[in-house]
Amino acid sequence: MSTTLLDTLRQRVPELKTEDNTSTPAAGCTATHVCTTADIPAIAEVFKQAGYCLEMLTCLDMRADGGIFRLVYHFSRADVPDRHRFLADVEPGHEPPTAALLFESANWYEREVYDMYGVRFAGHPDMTRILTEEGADYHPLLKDFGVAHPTDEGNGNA
Amino acid sequence: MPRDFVDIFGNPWLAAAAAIAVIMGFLSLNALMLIWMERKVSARMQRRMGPTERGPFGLLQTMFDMIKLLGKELITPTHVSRKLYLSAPVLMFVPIVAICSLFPLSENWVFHKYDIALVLVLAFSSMSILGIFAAGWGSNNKYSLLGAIRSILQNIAYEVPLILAVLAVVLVARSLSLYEIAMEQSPIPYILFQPLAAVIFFIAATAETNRAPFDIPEAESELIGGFHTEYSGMRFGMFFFAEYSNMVIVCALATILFLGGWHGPVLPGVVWFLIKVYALIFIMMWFRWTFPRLRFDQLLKFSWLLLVPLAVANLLVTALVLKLL
Amino acid sequence: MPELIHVGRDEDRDTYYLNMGPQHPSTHGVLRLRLLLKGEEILEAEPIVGYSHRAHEKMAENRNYIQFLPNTSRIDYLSGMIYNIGYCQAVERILGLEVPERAEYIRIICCELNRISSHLLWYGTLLMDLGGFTPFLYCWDDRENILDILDEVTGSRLTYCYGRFGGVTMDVNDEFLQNTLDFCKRFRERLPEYETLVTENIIFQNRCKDVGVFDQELAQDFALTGPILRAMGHKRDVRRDEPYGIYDKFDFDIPTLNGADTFDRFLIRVEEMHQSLSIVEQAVSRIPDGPVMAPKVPRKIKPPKGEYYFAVESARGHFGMFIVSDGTEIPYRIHLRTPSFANLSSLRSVLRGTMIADTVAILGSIDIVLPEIDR
Repeated sequence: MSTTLLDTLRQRVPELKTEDNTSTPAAGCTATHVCTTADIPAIAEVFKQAGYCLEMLTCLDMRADGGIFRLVYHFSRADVPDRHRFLADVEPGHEPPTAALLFESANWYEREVYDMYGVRFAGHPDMTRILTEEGADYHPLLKDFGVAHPTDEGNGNA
Repeated sequence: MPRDFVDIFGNPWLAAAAAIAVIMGFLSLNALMLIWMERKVSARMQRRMGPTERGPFGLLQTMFDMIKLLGKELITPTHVSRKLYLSAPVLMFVPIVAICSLFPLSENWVFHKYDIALVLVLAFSSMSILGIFAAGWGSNNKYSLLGAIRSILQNIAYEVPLILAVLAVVLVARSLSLYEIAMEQSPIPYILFQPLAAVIFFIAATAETNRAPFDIPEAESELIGGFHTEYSGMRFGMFFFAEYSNMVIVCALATILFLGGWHGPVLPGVVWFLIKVYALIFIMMWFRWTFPRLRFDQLLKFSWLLLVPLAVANLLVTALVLKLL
Repeated sequence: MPELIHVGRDEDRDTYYLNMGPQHPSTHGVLRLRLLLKGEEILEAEPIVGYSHRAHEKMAENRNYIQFLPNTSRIDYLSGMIYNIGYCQAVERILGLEVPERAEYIRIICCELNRISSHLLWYGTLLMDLGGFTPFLYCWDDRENILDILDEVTGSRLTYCYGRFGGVTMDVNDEFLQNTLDFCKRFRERLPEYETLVTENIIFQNRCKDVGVFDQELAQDFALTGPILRAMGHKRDVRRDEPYGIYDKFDFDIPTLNGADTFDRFLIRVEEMHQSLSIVEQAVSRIPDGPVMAPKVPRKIKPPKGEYYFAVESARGHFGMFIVSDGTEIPYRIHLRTPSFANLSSLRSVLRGTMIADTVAILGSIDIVLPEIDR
């Protein structure tokens, strides 16, 4: 992990909480950072300039545990293995800023998060569904989806 | 065997009817045979067996397929232009029959000896493009239209080198009659005098028949069949039929122009003629199962920038040499 | 005469939309491309995905860790073995399970065979998209050998469920090893034949060279991985960068090229098949005796609370599993980071300004598997 990168990060985002993961290989990343969604554009910019790509972006439905959605960003390099995880909490109904203006890959990732969780990203060029059908009125990965409508005879859906 | 149908029947209409019957019979048999051959050739090149079940060596397989095609529902999509859509398969087929009636199969197997048979063949073969365009335009489908447009551009691009190559032969033979040209080659076939013209002719002919690697108007992996996308059942079968008939036509023409027609030792002329034709068809199949497809612009460039200049140069050199001799 | 063509934009009567797919022979599954064309030139291309969405991630939240095993090989049905064993390795790393050495070797052999079979299918379909049908059947012939070998030991031809937490289901016998060696020998003899039939073919080279060049910045922008990235000159391979299993014990190259065009992507994958063959041969020659399952595998898999990430190199690139556990038997969330998803999204940039015929070449060279994108 390059210290200069972390220094720049701390300068841009002073309240970043960082946990070093180098000793826990199962975590699969060099460091986990907890930030707010408002910091995401600044963080993305730092990583973009350092030559990282946005490898993965997904979301967790933590509404049962704190009433929030948690966005998970993975930044990694194209040449040397180094991965940084960012966790950012989103209140339901709140629109986090998009990263698609800096990383083209975020375009589809954010559309997927919207499709699966209904979390909209502010400033996204094309905030439409990607995997489910057009005009669907559900977000399948919400924890309460499928509970009220058991479709499988008790087996598949919880 | 009669020397000329008109002499035999006396009445030209009767002769024409008989000729059409003979030609259609031959072409149908030929298409069945060629499709079987294509399957076997491709199978052998790909370490497969090909059809084996119906008839000896699977010979009857195509016939069963034809019966299947005949039994299929003829679907006319609602959005097509009916007149064009329905007439296209017929338009494809008329010039083919006309051309076939012009070929001399041997010294005695001739429907009628025309002095300008070669011009007629070239004129009629240009007409088959009408059928393709009618199919592509009338289908009212973007893929079909793209296929039709490609087909026209390709035909224009390859007709030029084809005719230039043929002209070189005409200069040598000093005749436009297919019969005369074949007779001229009694000891030595023209391929030895005109090897470049022969190669250009064969490449251009492969393109004219829309065979791989020049099959971009159909290009099933890009245009899903191109101009015949919207056709089903026997209407599709007609296009298939036309493709194989066209192969026979260009190969027969190549045989007459470059390979000495029916001339050959021991065996009767007709047999030699057919052997040469089917050998050329085999080469065409060999192309198809070896090469990937050219891209559209590469195909046009190949013709305009390579084949046409070469053919022109060949024609000039031929004319010059003939003048000096 | 009915109205013929739907014009794309009113102000420009020359442009029109062409819908390629979801039913189209060259979109490799149910991908839909909406192309804005001017003649044959592509002005805009928009890939539309989701036609085979099966909600694997939702299924993961409804069953325990072991029950999710069969799902893994159905995410990318062409490299099912790599996904299946990758998932086992992810859970093993979380639990800290040691896998017996013989099982590790078997896993490597099976995964690399699977990689070759996936590349062979890609090879054949790329050539078929370009109009060459014969190489397709050549590839099918060789691929069939691999499927037979894997079928013998795993019981399935495509959607393998061979891995278990702590090892593999069944031990392999000497016949399997012999068949594998025979395949390697035969395939090594066949590869030069492929070369003369395809690689040296001038038409094929013209169709591929300088077609679909990826600009360098796309690698970062779209988080490209796999052979596409390596064809751009980045020496990046999860097997080497973040070694999993026992890949660090093997001697293999990571081929790279700098052209970033279709032909380079083609050459990279061909070279990868060579490398995979060499890994398989090394593994077969060194495979030790011993058990194939760890002795003490917990009956109930309950990973400690936390967030985990594990990546493997699939035939198409970086396949990552982001697993969130809440300490129960059922995963709280499994996110699958599939390589094709990111790779395909770059298509929009690459297709601009090319021709329809190039579309199939470029799409084929990206090597997508739709079920993996849609999940």
